[in-house]
Amino acid sequence: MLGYAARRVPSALLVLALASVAVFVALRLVPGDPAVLLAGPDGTPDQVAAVRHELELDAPLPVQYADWLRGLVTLRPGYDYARHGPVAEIIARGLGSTLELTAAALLLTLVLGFLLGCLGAAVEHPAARWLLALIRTIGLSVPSYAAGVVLVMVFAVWLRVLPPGGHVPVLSDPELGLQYLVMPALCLSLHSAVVVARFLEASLRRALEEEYARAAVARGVPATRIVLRHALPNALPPVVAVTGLHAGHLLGGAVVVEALFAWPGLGQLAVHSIQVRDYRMTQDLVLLGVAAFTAIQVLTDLCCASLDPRVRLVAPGGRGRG
Amino acid sequence: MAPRRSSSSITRRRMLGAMAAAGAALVTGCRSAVGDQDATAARGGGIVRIGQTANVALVGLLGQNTVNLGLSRLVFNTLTEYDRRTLRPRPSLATDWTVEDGGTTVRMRLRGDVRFHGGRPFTAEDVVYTVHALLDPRHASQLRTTAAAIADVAAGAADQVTFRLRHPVSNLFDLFEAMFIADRESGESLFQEGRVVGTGPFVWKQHVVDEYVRLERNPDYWKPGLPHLDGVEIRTIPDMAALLASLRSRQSHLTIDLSPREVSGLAGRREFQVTASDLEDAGYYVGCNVRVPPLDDRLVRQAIAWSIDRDRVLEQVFSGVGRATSIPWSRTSPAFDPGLADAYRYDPTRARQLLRQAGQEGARVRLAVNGALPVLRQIGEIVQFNLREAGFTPQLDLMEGAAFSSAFAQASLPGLWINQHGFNHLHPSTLILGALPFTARGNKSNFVDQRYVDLAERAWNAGEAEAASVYRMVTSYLLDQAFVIELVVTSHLFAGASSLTGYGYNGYDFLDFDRARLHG
Repeated sequence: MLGYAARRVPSALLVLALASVAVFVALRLVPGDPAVLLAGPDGTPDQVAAVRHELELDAPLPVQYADWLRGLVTLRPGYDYARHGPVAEIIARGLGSTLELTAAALLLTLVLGFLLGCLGAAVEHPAARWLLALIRTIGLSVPSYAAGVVLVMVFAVWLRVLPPGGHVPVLSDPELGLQYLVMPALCLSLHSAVVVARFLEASLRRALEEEYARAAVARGVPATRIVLRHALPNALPPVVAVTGLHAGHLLGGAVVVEALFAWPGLGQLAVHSIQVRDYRMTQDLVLLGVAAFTAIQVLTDLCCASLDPRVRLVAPGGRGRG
Repeated sequence: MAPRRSSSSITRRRMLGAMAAAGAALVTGCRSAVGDQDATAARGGGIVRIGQTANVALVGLLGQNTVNLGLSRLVFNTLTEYDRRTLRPRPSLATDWTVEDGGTTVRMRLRGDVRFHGGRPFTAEDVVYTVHALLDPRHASQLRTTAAAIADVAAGAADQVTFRLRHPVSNLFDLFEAMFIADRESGESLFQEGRVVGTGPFVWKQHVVDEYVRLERNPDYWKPGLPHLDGVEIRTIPDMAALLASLRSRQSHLTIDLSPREVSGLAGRREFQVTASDLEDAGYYVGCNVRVPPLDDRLVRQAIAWSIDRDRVLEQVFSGVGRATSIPWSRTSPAFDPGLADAYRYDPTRARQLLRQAGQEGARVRLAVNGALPVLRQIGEIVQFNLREAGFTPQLDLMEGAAFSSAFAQASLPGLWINQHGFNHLHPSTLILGALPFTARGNKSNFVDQRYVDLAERAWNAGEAEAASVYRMVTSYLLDQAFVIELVVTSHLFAGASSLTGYGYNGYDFLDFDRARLHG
């Protein structure tokens, strides 16, 4: 298992290298000069040149690229002139908020997804199946922004039981932090929860039609035990793969949810950085996102392998290991 | 035979019931985030929460940056403060002043009982420092032109400061209205590291970028018994719908610049009050880059001015808040002339005639709009329609915010554009020397004319006797040349809870919370 993970490192580094070049070049092709923007609308050419020099944007492009990479590798990403603070500190604060939101959304995705998926596979009553289908349709068709607006209207404006937005770190004040977290996390998780539920339901139904499941029924094993102890572990691998993909979706969807709930995460930071052409911050954030997504995919593969012994972690030209 | 279940064993039903009861107890026993918000009004003076869509900008603290409307006057004071209706300056940090030597020398006496938040007494040296900082291009003040007229500023005694001007200027007190006096010992750290030290009613406590600024009451404020509030929190809420929700849920007591459409939903509800500043200090206009044909032709620009339905812009975009106009002055400006305010009315027939006269029927024009701002997008769509009616072939360019700002700063927008300017309500010289679309020496339309420069200088130096006639000449000139085509003047909107009373704003719409109260 560790060997498999280690073998993925070179390809992951290659992906990061290609992503770094792509974002570096793409930012410089987009219209909008950061030096002009920082100098202000009445900046003279001399002032703009001075700002460009301060931002080191007058250096040749390969030098700028090398400086940036050197800063990343030595963990000294430098100073952010748009926010007047160390880049590392700004990103760390945003990362903490985004991880909090994404982790909560992922947890809700799994809880709601498993609940709806198991119910979908087990329930036979027509009314109950209709209700589940309605929940799935709403979850899939309502965009997160619309769902968020409805949640705020109901729980914050009308009922006044939850705050409409803002952030209190859960680790520093769990009592208040959870109240600020529940609506954005729910909003972010709805779509993914329904997708996970669909996959789980289909996968469970297939597993329940296998011979071992029929044999367990014949032996009088309780239905709950059949589902949870026998069918569910075999139904999980495709669900884990989908969940891994949707973890990336959660990270991307966080941008919209963060804006709606004034959640100070990396999504908002990235949007603002692009708007003001903060090259260094944007590059760092994009690379961080690529690294996170790559790590999630590796983790997903490892989870699949540990759940299903039939899956072999095969290296090119090598022998497989379970 | 199946074993009997003991009566004392834990069944699944009992376990689930116990978990549900524990969950209910946990939820009902928790401290409520909403309850915490409501309690702040009950504790003493209370903490007011202000919501706005943009972050405060420390680097713009000495400028006229609208993102600091809720901040600057809370932490700082100015030398004088305008009576908004008469534009006459009243004492603030300066107690009295004299104007001598034909208007080239201004001596001010300063209050002796003022201290900065760190405890150090305020002196004339701090005024000297602030003037020099204002001249520093890094602080991006649009009043730098006026400040540059100050040849020398010197501290006499600790409570006296003397300004010597290169020539008399008519808008010096516009400068003083916006010149927030900074602590000279903070220096550049004021703008970079957030050591924001002023003399104002609130002390800087905490700043989390992208989230909030927290201020707490200054117990040593030089106005006795003030402020009443315990503190102020300025929160960044980027989304307009979220900002409205924060007000409606009472998370925010006051919002700055909610859009007129969002605000219209609060009309008639007693728990909210909407204040449109009476300064009319936001002017929306169509700018013309006169280096781009056919906009180099004055007749074409005038045709554009005749083609636009300003009343439609006012109603559809601003829900009627403001006034359609052809001139950039607010009603309180000494240059306002009601006879010229409607110089251009919606008349596509006349526009077509002028276009024909110029030989430019069907002329292609590009209309650039900052796509990040919904108000400008909406205006752009109306203007595009009107231009087509008048016989132009318009192309609407929705530009990304940074690209637009960059092109605007470099005066390289590819034709027409929609944007907003300020300074309508101040001394006319402040607009034609400081507002970027209008500045006689180097505006964003690339309009260069010695006659305009001469008129601007005359307006700057005009005495009371000739001021009215000079301003009329300037207005007529701007209407004739039409390189900036005014559409609507409107105001900053402050929408808040009715429980917040007693607040005001200065001559630049910076909020004044000296006497603000929060009622339970």
